[in-house]
Amino acid sequence: MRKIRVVRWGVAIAALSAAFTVTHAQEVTMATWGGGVGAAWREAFAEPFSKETNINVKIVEVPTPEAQIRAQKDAPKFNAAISSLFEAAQMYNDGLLEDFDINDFPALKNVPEKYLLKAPNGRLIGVSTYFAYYGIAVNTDLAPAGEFGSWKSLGDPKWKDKLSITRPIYSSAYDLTIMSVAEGGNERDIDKGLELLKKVAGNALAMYSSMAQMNQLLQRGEVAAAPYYSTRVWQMKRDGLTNVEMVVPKEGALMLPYLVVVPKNASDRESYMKWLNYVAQPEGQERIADIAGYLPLNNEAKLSEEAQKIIGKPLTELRDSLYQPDWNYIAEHRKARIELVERAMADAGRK
Amino acid sequence: MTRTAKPSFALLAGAAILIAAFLTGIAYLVIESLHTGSGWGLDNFAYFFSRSDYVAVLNRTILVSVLATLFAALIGYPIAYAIADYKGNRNFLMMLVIMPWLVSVVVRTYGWVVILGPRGTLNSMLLSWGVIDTPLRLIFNMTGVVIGLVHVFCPFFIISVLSVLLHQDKSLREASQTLSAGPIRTFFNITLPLSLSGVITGAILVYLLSTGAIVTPLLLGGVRDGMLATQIYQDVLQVFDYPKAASMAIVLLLTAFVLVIPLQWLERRVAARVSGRGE
Repeated sequence: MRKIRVVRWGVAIAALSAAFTVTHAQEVTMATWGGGVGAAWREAFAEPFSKETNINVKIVEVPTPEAQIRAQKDAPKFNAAISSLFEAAQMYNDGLLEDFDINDFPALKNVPEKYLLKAPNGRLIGVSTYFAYYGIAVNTDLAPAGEFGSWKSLGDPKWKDKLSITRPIYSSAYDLTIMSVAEGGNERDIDKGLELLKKVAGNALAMYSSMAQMNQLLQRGEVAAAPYYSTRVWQMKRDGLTNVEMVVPKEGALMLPYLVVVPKNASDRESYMKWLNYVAQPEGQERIADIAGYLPLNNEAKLSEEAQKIIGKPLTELRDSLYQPDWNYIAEHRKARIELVERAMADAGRK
Repeated sequence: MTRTAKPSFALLAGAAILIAAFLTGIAYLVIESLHTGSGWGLDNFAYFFSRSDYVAVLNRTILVSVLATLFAALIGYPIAYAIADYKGNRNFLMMLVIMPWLVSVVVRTYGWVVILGPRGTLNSMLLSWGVIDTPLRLIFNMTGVVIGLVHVFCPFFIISVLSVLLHQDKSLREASQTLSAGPIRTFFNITLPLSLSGVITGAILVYLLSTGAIVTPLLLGGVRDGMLATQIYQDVLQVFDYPKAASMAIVLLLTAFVLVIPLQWLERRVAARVSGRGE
């Protein structure tokens, strides 16, 4: 009798362990930014993927996915994370990310080569999924959108105390690059761009530190314009705001591709490989375009009529008008660029 | 004997844990701050002081914290005095003082944008009354940061002073007035000196909390109004330069000590004088 009881307990424990192992093996835990990004990922990708594969996807919203990957360096809790290209390049250089054979992701053949982030060894650092762009957001109650047809217009003294700008960590990667392009340079040739950035910072009333803060500044009309993300303006318009416009200046806006990366030594390779393949497909990318304005990188994806109306021009035309810098170069020089921008902003506005 | 020994040991153990945690944290910071790219040294500190913009941030941090402390004292003391002197339901007034703590500091700080922003309530009113032609710049500068810090930290000052005022022997004030001193003379000769220990404790609290403030300078400061804690926050969570952030934290700590240690010495002298031990 006692023997039977022991065997029963053994079987129960083994079954529980097996169940746990199966559950554990069939899970993707992905870090995303907050501010609606997580919700959009759940609806556009996670829920349909789980239905299709029975693999549970847990989307965890965090302030900075990169910070999570760095903090969990030795024992990653996430096996996927959304990242910008320059952050991914930096993390890869620091040995924090897995790399992949591009042939593992057949859908990526429909993504233009320049939007894929590759390591020096030619392997892929994550899967490029969608893009936003960095242009000029304008409150049209305070200024006509046509006033910001060039990045240089932001440096005009007439906008003194009527602009906002992001913090050096991002402006050193985004604003400095696109303003250098506007001044005839590029991400490597930044001297003139830095001068323009200094003028823009001199005109800035506030430095925004979160999307919520910038949305408030723009919606309330505390500032007339700011270099900002297309997706945020998209979401404000979708929510019914009619006095906010996104401008692509004549020198172009900055292309911001995003990719899904995998922390080094992350668990459950089989599940995250399926997940990476899924996010490279056009269907999910079409859904997130409708939900949050992140635009597809996969050429096979078709925008809905409503989405097409909001961007105002064919997707490929828009994509081709955006400037795609060498993000690896920006990542390599990240600290030096931040220092330059910090110093420039400290001097900004001084006579 | 056993009954008295146990609680004191328990108190000692609690204090020891706190001190050990504090010292471990400081030791970690010191070790981290001495990490350089190639080994150990003071490179991070040298770099900090070689950057004029960082030194300006440090000076601004001290100035803003001193101003916030000063205004918290000027606003907080009369409030504490009024509550201590109130004959009715004093607990209700104390609850009003601490009630803002029930709301997130982010929400409270955003409130100031709505009130003091260029398109805020105050500017809109002044513009509509014809008092001003262009909006006053009350936030997104140092003024805004000081207003925000005073609002957030003033309750700490009020509670520190209130706890001292409530324990003051009222007969001393009555004796002063019996000896023909008016209310103002009584206040400056009796009430204020006897409450100085509370004032100093409150000032230390507000000053230290202000030097470490992150949210308020971020939301109410302008492009050139960053404080050291916001810089540390950026270096830890966005640039991931931990040695640099640790060196800045050590600089901030040492700066705080420069002001706090003399204040604590003053507090001990005041306490000794009030109790008669210093005479």
